[in-house]
Amino acid sequence: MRGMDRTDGATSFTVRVSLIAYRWLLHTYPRGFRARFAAAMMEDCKALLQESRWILHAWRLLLRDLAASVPREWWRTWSSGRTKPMGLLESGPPPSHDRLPMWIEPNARRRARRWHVSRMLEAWARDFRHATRSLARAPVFTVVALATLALGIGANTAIFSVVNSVLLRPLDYEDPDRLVTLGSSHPDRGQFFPLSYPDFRDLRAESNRLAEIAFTVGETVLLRGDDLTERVPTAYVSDGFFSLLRTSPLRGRTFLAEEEQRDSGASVAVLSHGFWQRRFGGDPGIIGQTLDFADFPLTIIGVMPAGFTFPSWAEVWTPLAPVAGRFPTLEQRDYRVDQTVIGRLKAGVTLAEANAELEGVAFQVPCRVGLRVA
Amino acid sequence: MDRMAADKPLTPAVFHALLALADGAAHGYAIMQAVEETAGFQMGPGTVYGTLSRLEESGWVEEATAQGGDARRRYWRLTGAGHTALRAESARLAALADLVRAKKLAPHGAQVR
Repeated sequence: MRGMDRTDGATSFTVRVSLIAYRWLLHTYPRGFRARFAAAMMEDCKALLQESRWILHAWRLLLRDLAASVPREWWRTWSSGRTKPMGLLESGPPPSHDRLPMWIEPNARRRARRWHVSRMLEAWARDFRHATRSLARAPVFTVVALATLALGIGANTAIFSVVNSVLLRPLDYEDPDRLVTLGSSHPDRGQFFPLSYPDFRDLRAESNRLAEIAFTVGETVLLRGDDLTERVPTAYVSDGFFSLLRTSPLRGRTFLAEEEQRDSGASVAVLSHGFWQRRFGGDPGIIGQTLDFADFPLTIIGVMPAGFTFPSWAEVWTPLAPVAGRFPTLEQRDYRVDQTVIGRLKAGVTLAEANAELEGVAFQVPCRVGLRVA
Repeated sequence: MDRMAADKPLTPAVFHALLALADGAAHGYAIMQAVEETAGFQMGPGTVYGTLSRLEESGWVEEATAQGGDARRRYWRLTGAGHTALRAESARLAALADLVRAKKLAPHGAQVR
């Protein structure tokens, strides 16, 4: 009788939360059992929680007890023929088919079964309403439970997104493990800087470990339009850019060798899939149309597939050499802004070997070239 | 579920619940505590009330009206059949204890737990 002299006044927060949780867990018992014993069990649970020195000990007992007794009670309910179906007592018995003449028995059976199903659905609806009311009555518990769920689901989703893109899904390019980004690090600072255009030219001439190497620099360009003038992130790419990434265009073609010469006078552009969809509504007759850049109109010759997003911001690609004059800083060896150099390792060459070779490449500006997996 | 029979050994939960009610009516929580003291294992509320309702089905216990006790609690007491079953099981256990002692496996006056 130790639990009897306790007063209800000083119930701690943990005990209150535990009781709410236990009341929920009681719903796992069959309805009849719950209707008869739930109140008494709540009382016992309260006494148990208040008397145990550690609330976790009480919970260990309660959970073990639930795990053992819930299946037992369900088994009793199901296996006992005397147990009445749910809700039976509330609105009268189903039509008894014992008294019906033989010839209408099948229908009566079906009706009786339908009656049971509808009673069961009502019972579920009642349980659901009870659950929502209980939640509304215990707002702190509800908020804590929802916050726990939200954080748990959110964290899982976030981690999965990262794991999926970084570990599970490879880059959308052929032989992605041979693709590298090239950068330089200052001997004193150790950061990873982009390479300048002269660096790129020297590397291309001297490296034996890289099968291909390409350079890209970005700029947003004003695009005129009838209803929408916008700034479009445009990537100026060196020759061999698309062949390095081994991606064929979805429509049209990429740049020809002669279009990538400095004095070719060519003005051609390849669009990203997203830009083609957004700006041109996926127009199938896009090839040959003019991209009305304010300074230098370009002819659209191709559209890349949806997965091709390098550099990630690029909406339009155009050859660098014919418009190199737009970049007065391009020939400065120490200008390293908004530029990316990518390379493809020769077959059989490891990242370490390529890095070792690059260590030996001497530049006029003191820096050390390094590779990083793209 | 099969009715419990007085001539078969009882499960520990059933025996200890009956034992806890031997001194008079008690509520579920008192039974839990008595079981913990005499048997050394803890019984949760679900087990206690499951056991009690099975005992009731067998006609061994019945609900008693609370006399001066806590009105929120449900009190239970042994029926005549329950007393008989408890005595039968106790006799069986006593015989078993005699046998164990005759084989010198346990000293006289050993603690229950």
